[in-house]
Amino acid sequence: MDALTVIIFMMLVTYLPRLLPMYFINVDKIPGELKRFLSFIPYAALGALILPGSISAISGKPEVSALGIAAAAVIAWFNSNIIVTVFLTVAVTYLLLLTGL
Amino acid sequence: MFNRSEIKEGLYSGLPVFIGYFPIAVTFGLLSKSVNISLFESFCFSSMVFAGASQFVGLNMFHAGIGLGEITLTVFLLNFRHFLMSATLSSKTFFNRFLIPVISFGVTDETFAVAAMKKGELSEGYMIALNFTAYTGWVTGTVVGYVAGDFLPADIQASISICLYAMFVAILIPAVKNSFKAGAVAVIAGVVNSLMGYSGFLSSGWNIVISIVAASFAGFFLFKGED
Repeated sequence: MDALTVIIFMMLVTYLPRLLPMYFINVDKIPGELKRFLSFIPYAALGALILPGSISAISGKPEVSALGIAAAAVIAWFNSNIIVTVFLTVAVTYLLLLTGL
Repeated sequence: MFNRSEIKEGLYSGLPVFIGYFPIAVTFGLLSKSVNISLFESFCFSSMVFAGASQFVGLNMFHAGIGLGEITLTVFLLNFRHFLMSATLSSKTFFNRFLIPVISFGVTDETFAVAAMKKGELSEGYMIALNFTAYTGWVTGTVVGYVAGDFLPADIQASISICLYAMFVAILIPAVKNSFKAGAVAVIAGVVNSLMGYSGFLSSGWNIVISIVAASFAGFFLFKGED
């Protein structure tokens, strides 16, 4: 089995779940209740993407990862620019790593 | 559909995703070189699959000699959450039928998070511009990693792996400040996902799908009649 075969199969099973709902769901015909359910998905998805994955962001350093994410939350609370938050978080994390935590 | 200011807004909104993707894609390029696949194959991985974690998983499984069926099923489960994300985006906006193949190709956790938090309707121009910026970061990062990745110092490599999580937090916090519901649903999803992860019953692909659905149902019932 060569890599390209694997890549093509991976592409199919990644692409189809992204593609099909857009054809089947029509914003004008979607029931109000389903719309309300779907309106929670972004927050639920973010929660599930942040926890527990972020704790193991830096391999072998859960304390640094947790502190870095806590720093990100504090920084994001006081400024709404995503890029600023990302850069400051990386800087804080780098400093934490330098302290040898 | 293709309004200049919306395209501009999409390109700009994609910048944090670009910044988050680039270093991770560099790591992917580096890793794919170390398991002896060619630069072209590594490029195909990122340009055709365009999915973060599952590329690492797929590459590792391929390297370990695991069969095609098992790799395909694992990747399918890992990425099935995008089904929910695509559905959510199309519940917000009616996209042009002919552009759906292009728009949906770029739906990832990160582009979804950015697009879902945008106020009001989404336009095709905005979506394609946003996804294009993200895609560029992912594909160029992969190639740079394959060709030149060894030069990055270890501490810098380690600290940038927090980028995407910092971005998720940066997208979530303003929403939480505006709405208690958003925070509650996010916390429920994170807690459910963590508990399921530690219990180890199911794979992480299942865990994330179940947590998203469970937390959205919780929000649906807890906040019934409040809006």
